[in-house]
Order: sequence, then C-alpha cells, then structure tokens
Amino acid sequence: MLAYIAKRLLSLIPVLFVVTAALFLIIHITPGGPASSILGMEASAEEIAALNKELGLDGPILTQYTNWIGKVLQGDLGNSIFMKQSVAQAIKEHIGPTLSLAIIAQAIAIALAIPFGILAAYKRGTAADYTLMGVSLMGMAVPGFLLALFLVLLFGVKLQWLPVAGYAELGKGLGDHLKHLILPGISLGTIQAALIARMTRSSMLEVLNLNFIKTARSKGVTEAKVLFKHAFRNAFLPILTVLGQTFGTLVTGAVVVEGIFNIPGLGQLILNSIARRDYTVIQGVVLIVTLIYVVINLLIDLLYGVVDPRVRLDRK
Amino acid sequence: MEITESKEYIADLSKRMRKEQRGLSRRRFFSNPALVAGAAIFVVLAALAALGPWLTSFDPYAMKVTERLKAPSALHLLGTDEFGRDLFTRLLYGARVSISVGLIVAALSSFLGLLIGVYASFYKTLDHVLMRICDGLVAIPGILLAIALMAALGASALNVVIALTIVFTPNIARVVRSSALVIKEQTYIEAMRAQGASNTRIIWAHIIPNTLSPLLVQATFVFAEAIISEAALSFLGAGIPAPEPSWGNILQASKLVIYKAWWMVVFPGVAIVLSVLSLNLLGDGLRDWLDPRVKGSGNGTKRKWRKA
Amino acid sequence: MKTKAWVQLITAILLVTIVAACSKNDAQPASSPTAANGGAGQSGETAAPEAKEYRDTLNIALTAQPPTLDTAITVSAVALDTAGNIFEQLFTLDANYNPVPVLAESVEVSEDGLTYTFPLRKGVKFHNGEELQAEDVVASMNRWLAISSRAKVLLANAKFEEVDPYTVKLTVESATSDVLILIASQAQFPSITTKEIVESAPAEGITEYIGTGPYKFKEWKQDQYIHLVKYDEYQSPEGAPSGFAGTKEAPTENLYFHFVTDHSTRIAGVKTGQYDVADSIPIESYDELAAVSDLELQSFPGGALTAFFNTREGLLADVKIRQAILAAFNNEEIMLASFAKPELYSLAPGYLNSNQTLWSNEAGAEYYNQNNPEKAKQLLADAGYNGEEITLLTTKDYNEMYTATLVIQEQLRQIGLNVKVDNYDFPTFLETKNDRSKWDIFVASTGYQLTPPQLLAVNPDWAGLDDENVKQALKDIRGAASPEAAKQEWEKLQGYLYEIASSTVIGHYNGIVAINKNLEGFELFEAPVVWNAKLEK
Repeated sequence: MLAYIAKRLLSLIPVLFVVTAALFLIIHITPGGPASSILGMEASAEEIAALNKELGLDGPILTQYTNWIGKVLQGDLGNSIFMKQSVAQAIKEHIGPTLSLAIIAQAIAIALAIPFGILAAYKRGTAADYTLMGVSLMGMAVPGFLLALFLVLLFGVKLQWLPVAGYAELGKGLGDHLKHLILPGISLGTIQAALIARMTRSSMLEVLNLNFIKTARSKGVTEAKVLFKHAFRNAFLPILTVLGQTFGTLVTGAVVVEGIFNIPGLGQLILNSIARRDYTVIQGVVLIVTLIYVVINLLIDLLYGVVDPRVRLDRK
Repeated sequence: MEITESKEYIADLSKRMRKEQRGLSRRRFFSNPALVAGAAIFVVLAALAALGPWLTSFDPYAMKVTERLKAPSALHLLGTDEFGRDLFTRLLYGARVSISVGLIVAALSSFLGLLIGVYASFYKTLDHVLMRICDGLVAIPGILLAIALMAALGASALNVVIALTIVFTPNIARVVRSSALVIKEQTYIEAMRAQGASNTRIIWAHIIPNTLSPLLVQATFVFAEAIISEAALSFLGAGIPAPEPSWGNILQASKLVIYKAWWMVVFPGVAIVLSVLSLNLLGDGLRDWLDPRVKGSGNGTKRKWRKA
Repeated sequence: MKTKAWVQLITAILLVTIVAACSKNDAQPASSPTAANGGAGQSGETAAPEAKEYRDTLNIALTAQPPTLDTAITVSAVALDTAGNIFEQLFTLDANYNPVPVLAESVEVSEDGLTYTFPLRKGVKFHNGEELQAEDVVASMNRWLAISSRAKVLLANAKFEEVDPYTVKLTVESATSDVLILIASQAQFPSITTKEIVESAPAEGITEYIGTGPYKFKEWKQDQYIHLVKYDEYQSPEGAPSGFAGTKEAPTENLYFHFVTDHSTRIAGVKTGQYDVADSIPIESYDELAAVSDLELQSFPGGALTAFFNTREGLLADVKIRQAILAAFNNEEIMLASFAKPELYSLAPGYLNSNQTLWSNEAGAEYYNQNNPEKAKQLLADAGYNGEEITLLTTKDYNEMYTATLVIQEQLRQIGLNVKVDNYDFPTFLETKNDRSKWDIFVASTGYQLTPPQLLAVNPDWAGLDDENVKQALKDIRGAASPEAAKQEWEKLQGYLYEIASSTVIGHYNGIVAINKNLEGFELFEAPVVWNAKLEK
C-alpha cells in the first residue's frame, strides 16, 4: 500500500513539471505586465518598462523559472506582485469560499442524484425512468454559467427570493452563508447530479441483474433491504469514482460561476490575477488547484481498497 | 479486466463492420432513438445556421441605437440587443460562428489526437514524452488553460480554435492511445509484423481505421464541449471578439442588462442547450449504433473533463 | 416501443423549454417595481430629534481594488478615493478649482516666478505620532517630481529644498501660471508622508501608509476591503468645507472601502443598506435605483469620452483620412449606446470640464459631431482610400470605451472603411497603445484635467501627437501674461486640434454615486468626499 502511494506520488513529479513549465511559458508570452495594472491608464511606455525591470521581470524566462521552482521546492510560493501579501496567504484567504461552494454543490448533486438514480434503475423501462433520464440529459446540456444566468433571472430578478450575488463568511452565521451559496451551488451541482444519476442508474442495473440479488429476493428479503443493503453497496464503487472525479472538477470548475455570483474564491483570485498579470499568484494557484485535483483522484483510488477489499492497488 | 473486454470489443467490431450490410445499418439507425433525436435537432440547428442570411432581412451588424433593448415584437422576433441590432439575426449568425468553431475544434483535435495517440502507442520514448505532456495539460483545469492561452494569444476566432484544440487534444490522444495499444497486441498485427510489414503500414492500414469509431464518438462529445467552452470563453470576454456575434458573447452582453432584457439571456441560452443536448444524444446514439452490445446510455465516465 | 417513449420525451423537453421562455416573457413588466419596497424600514426612526446619535461605521462600495495607495505613482481613481482620507497635500482644490493651502500655511512667489516659498502649518502630526517637518515635505515632493508622469513633463528640473524645519522652497525652471494647480491636482497627487517611508519606498510603491489626514490606515483585506479609522490627533485646516478643502471633522469612527467589482452585487448591497455609498453606478441600473426610496442618486462631471487618432503611423497619418473619419462621427449615437440616458451626458467639443469657465469654449464646433457620411465618403475618395484596414484598439475592462468603439466601428463601416476592432484586457491594451504601429484609433474615458497642458490629447506620450504648433501653443498658454490671454491661446489650440483631426471629444459623461438618503455631510466633488459624512443611527 505504502509503496503504491509512493509510486503514485513520484509519478506526480513529471506532471507538475509539465504543468508549471507550460504555464510559465504561456504567462510569459502574454503581452502586458503587472506594471501597467499598477501604474494605471496614463502610464507611459518607459515608466512601465522601468517598473517591470524593478519587479525582476525582465530576466530570461529560464532564469525566472528556475528561481521560482527553486523556491517552490522549499515550500515558498513567493509574494504577490499586486497584493501586499504572500501567495500562500492569498490562497489561504480564497480557498474557503471555493471549498464551501464545492461541498454544497456536491451535497446538492448527491442528494438529488443517488435517490433518483436508484429509483430509475428500480423502475427501469417505465415512464419514471425515461423522465428521470431525460431530465438528466437536459442537465448535462446546460453549462454551469448558463444555468447560473437562468437562476439569477428567475430567483434574483423575478422572484427575488435569494441574493443574486455576494458572499457571507461562514463565521458570520451558517444561514446567511448557505443563502448566498444555494444558487451557485445549484449552478455547479446540476451537471454533477446528472452525471452521478446516470452512473448510479447504470451501475445499479448491473448489480440488480446479478444472481445474489435474485437469491436474496427469493429468500424473502424486503425490497428496500435488497435495494439499499445488497444492491447499492455493491454498486457503490463506480459511483464513488464519478463522485471523486466530479468533486475534482467542482473545485477547479468554479471559475466562471464564482465570477457570476461574485464569490471571493480561488476562481475569482485567478481571473483577477490573470487580468493584473500577477504572475506569482497565477502560478501558485494553478499549482495548488492541480495538486488538489490529483490528490483527490489518489484518495478515491485508495478508498477503493477500503470500500471493496477485493481491489488490490499495488498489483496490476 | 477492462483490457480483455476491449480486445473482444475491437475484434468483434472489425469483424462485424465488414459483415454489416447497409440495410441492416439503416434499420439500426432508426431503431436508435437517441441517434435519431440528436441528429434531427442538430440538422435543424445546422440548417438554421447555414440558411441564416435568407431567413432574416436585418443586417447583423447594423446598429440602431435608439432601438436598443426592445422586447420581442412582430418586427424584432426575439427583441433587440444593447446596440439596437436584431437579436434573431444575431443568433442566426452566431450559430454559424459557434457551430463552426465547435466543428473545427472537434476535427482538429481528433486529427492531432489520433496521430499523437497512435504514434505514442508504437514508439516507447515518444510515448513517454507525449504522454507526460498530455498528463500535465489534462491536469490543468481546461477552462483556466483556455483563458490563459487566450490572454497570451489575443482574442480572435482563430485563437479560440487554437486554444481549445490545445485543451482537447490530450484527452483524445489518451483515448486513441489506449485503444491503439489493444489493437497492436492483436494476433493479426503480430502476424503482419512477422511478414515484415513496416510500422507505418501497420499504423495507417490497420491501427488507424480500427480506432476510428471510438474516435468518432469521442469527437462528438468534444464538439459539444467545444461549443460550451467557446461560449464560456466569450462570456468571460476572452473568446470571439465583437462585433462578430457568437452565442457566448451575446450572453456576455446580456449580463450587464439582465435586469432589463431577459430575452438576451434566454434565447442564446436555449440555443446553446439545444445544440449541446443534440450532440450528446448523437454521441450516445453513435456509441450504441457502432457497438450494439452496449445497451442504454448510462455510462457517465466519458464526460469527466466537464469544465464550465 | 422504446422509440416512441424517446420521441415523446424529447417533445416534452422542447415544450417545457418553450413554455418556460414564454412565461418569463409574460411576467416581465410586473417584476421591477416590487423590487424597491422590499428593504424599507431598516434605518431607525426612533432617535430623539435633539440629541442625534450617529453610526460609528460607514461602508463605501468601490468598483475595484486599488493597485496601491501610493498616490504619486497611480492614477487609479479608486486609489485616490481611498488615499485622500489618509494623505494630505501642500495645496488642494476647493469646489471652484482654486488651489488653497492644506499643509502649507500660505505661499509666496518670487517676482521672477521661479521660486515658491511654503511656510508649513505647525503642530501637524503624522499617524505615527511624529510631527510634520520640512524634511518630510521635501522628500515626498521631490519623489513626486521624479516619478509622477505629469510632474516629470510639466515641472521638469524643479526642486524642493528645506529652508528651515517649517519652511520649504520650490524652484522651477521657467515661470508658468499653473505651478500651484499642478501641486494641488488630484490625479497622481503629491501626498506628504514621512522622510523614512519615502527613502525606503520600493519601486511598486510605498507599502506603509502614514499620512497626516483625518483617517489612518488600519487594515487591507485583499480583494475585500480597506479599513480606515479616525485619527484622534488630527489637525484640520480651517474654513468651510468646499471641494477637497476646508475643515475635516471625521465624525464617523470607521470607514470601510469595500471592493465590489460586480455591478449587481454593488447595487444589491446599496439597496439593502449594506453599503451607505456606492461608487460608479452603471447607467443601466439608474432607473432601478432611482425608484428606491431610501436612496439618493448624485451625479458629478465624470470626464470626457475621447477618441484619439494615430497621427504618427499608418493610414491615419494622412490628415485627410482623419478628417473623413471625423466627418463620419455621430456622437449622439455613440454616447447613447455608451451611457444610455441622454439626461446624464452632454455633447460639447471642449476638452475640459465645462464648469471651469476659464477653459470652457466652443472652438472646433464645426468639426464636432458632424454626422455627415456623404462628406466623409467624399473626403475618403479625395484621399485615395483603397480598402486598407484600420484598427480600433479597445479593452472590455472599461465598458463605455468598448461600447463606443463598437459603434464607431459600425459608423466607419457605413462610409466604406475596412475596420477591425482589437480588444484586449487592460494591461495588454496599455502596452499595445504604446506601440503605434498596432492601432489607428482608440477611445478612452478619462477624468477631467485641470489645465490644457495636462490634457492627454496634447501629451505626445499618450497618443503620439507630435506637432510643433501644439507645443508652441502650450508654451504660450503656460507663459501667458493673464488668465484672459491664456484662455484665448487655449481656444485657438482647441480649434487647431479639431482642424487637424488629432482627436475628438465624443461627449461628456457624469459619474453616478448612490448614497443613503440620510447621509449628512457627504460631498461629491471629482470623487466621493466622505471625511465629513455621518449617518444617523
């Protein structure tokens, strides 16, 4: 097990190297620099060039990259060019809203998807099954930002039930916190719900056709028990995979939705940083987000072993 | 487990393909409701896009600022936008842009992904280099990569195509590579090799034709994803530059006037949903059509790189 | 059998979509009026009339996070809005745009006009407790002279020196009429901080904000807010409040400047009372907010939306082409698209604020807002235009600039020009603007300048206008014997700028600020002035 984890972690090194190198290259061929955002509209070309030089952004890319990587290896993500704080601090301040949003979206997705997925499998071939699967097809066709706009139009503009934008910190009360995250949560969670529902349905179907379910039924075990105890437990593994994958995309995929609802999360941080050319922050955030994504996938793989002891990871 | 299954699948597929007759094929097409529905909706959308200029009497660029943000009426079927341009006309012309960006991205990334995937499966060093690059690119959230690329390249339709192709190619390459690896181990390939066939001949005459059907399915989903991504990029102001209409940049403009002009959100939104829905149905349907053993459409894993 | 179910399903989905779209349609007109009354009754009405009690906190919503509070290096408006509470200047502007002393007692100008002596007010204390002395002023002012882009051009080789601990002296290269105005200007204003801070300032701006103003810097929560608290030992200048001058009382203990980039959040926040002041209200939301009974909308002359032509390189280096383009402009249409409400903008060829009577004139009116496509086509034909592409440069980060650019593109397309728009985010826009081979026209919305020589339209760095007549005219304006003479010189120059079609004002716009109706002591002059503002509990 440990050897497996070590192997997986080692295989991360080339991935992260490619990620950071690609990013560094993209960022440094991007025209415009942080100096112009600091100096404002009326700055002249010489002033901008002078400040960029002072900021240490005029050296060869390779030198800048090795300097940066060297620091990162010592656990130092550097300082923001634009904000008066370290990159680590900036990430710490912005990761909370993104995690909250991802968790709420995932909760909404699971709460909707798993019961309906099971129902659809159980009522296979009936109108209920077709309706549910049709709705999930629709759900997959509505991108998050579009759903967000529709929800703002419906709940914010027409019904005026919920705030259309903004964020309240968890520290200032759970109710307010949730109120601000419901619409963004639904926007992000719907696609995940659609995916999870379809996965649940198909993996339940597979299990329901297996012999041991028939045996259980013939022994007179109640339907509810058959569904949840016998079938769902065995159908859970593929569902878990989708859960893990979708959670990863939730954390990373909040970029546009955070913008629409003005939630001060990592997505906003990175969009702002791209607009300000705050290089160190862009690099730091993408590195962290990529790490989160990869680590979640690793955790899911490890969970396999816990959920189903037959799965051995360290042997192919 | 998965490997043996795909092996059978490929062997089965190639055998079947040869045997299948056109009549049978047509019957199976029409007995596949997802395929029919997806194709039908998509054909309608594509026809609207193609016939756009003949369906409207308005110029998509001509402004009439005094007519800005007018609600739908007999004159302006879907209302007007913030410059007083006819929204219906803008949507029709936008369909051309959005659909062709999606199509070109799907075609380009399929082509590049096919080459990368197949050659990686044949040459070990190349495999290591290419796959590490693909792993890295896949690990960066797609929309972020696209935004960063657009900032670097500048906003233009061509650059949207380039950025999205860079985003989607690694995924396709990985799909192609894994099916190519399976085909490569088939006995008849070994036999050919023993007869002295060159790698190039094996690749072009046998491997590539056999990876085409999973590739086609995958390309359909990339098509849908590319439409969404283009819309998301344009929505963020990093996509198709104005005044060229695209569904995404109409939505971007709508955000500022959402309290005043619901039509600017609803209609381009419906257009995006319908096109993505039809392509998803088409993809599911194609998969079933090309491989009748897969029943239902419950497999969700294909879409793990959803972003926007 | 299965087919039927699918077809039914798809039909059902389509129907639902259509019905949903239609029902939104029907209900729309009724929706907005109900919005206004929702948040009423939040301000306390029980307080006794004789002893009013005031809140200890004001919340101000700005459109963006300032890049820095170092006013000498940035022209960012949000930076100045915030920093104006922390820092003070030697001189500032009153409501009539006259320079009046703040940290200086007065000024004495030598007869040759080359030396300005400023005695300083005694007993003024920095937020760190130290007393303000000449060395601090000299260090701060000399840094401003060295790094502010305007001071570098207009006060080249000027120098501040200490005379004694409470007197400083400025020597300038040539006698001009605008030295005090420059020192009092708001864009890139010379704030006075301590000598130590100036000496240790990094290139990207000072990071320790120690001033002498009525509020001191408390906390900067990145991307959220800046918190200022009242400075108890503040020594206010005398006089009735007027513009940026006069007494500053700081009746409210805490000021929070929130950065709320998203318009709908800022609007929702000011509607619910979360913010007492909200900056830069987009015109699209004007009616919605005007209907809210707890709010008051104030407007102030925001600036001039101006189109700049590339007189140096490319097709537009030909004056005939520029004149053709100028003839095609329909400024009314551009302003309507960019600012939506005719009562909130005005059309006039003047480059400066029309409230400044000294500089206000109508020169160039015959070239302004011509809306004459036929003449434009004729001029194009005369110039031998042959389908070459011209580039409009813009940035979506400023919506009014972007919108105006798109309308101009369409107007130019109508006269047969081949026009493309290059849209970048703001940093790239600036960088591209400085490369004159990459654009032909750009539109910018910039706040008003106080004197003609400060105008971007005559600044060679800005859009590349390099014209001997302009340079000479500027010298004449600055060296003019009387204000009347300067006024005449400027009138001539403004006419000349239009004649050679180097740039054109498109129109003048108002900035809109929404405030809580019960806010007292708030003033809107160039920017929201909040240091005397208070709100009853």
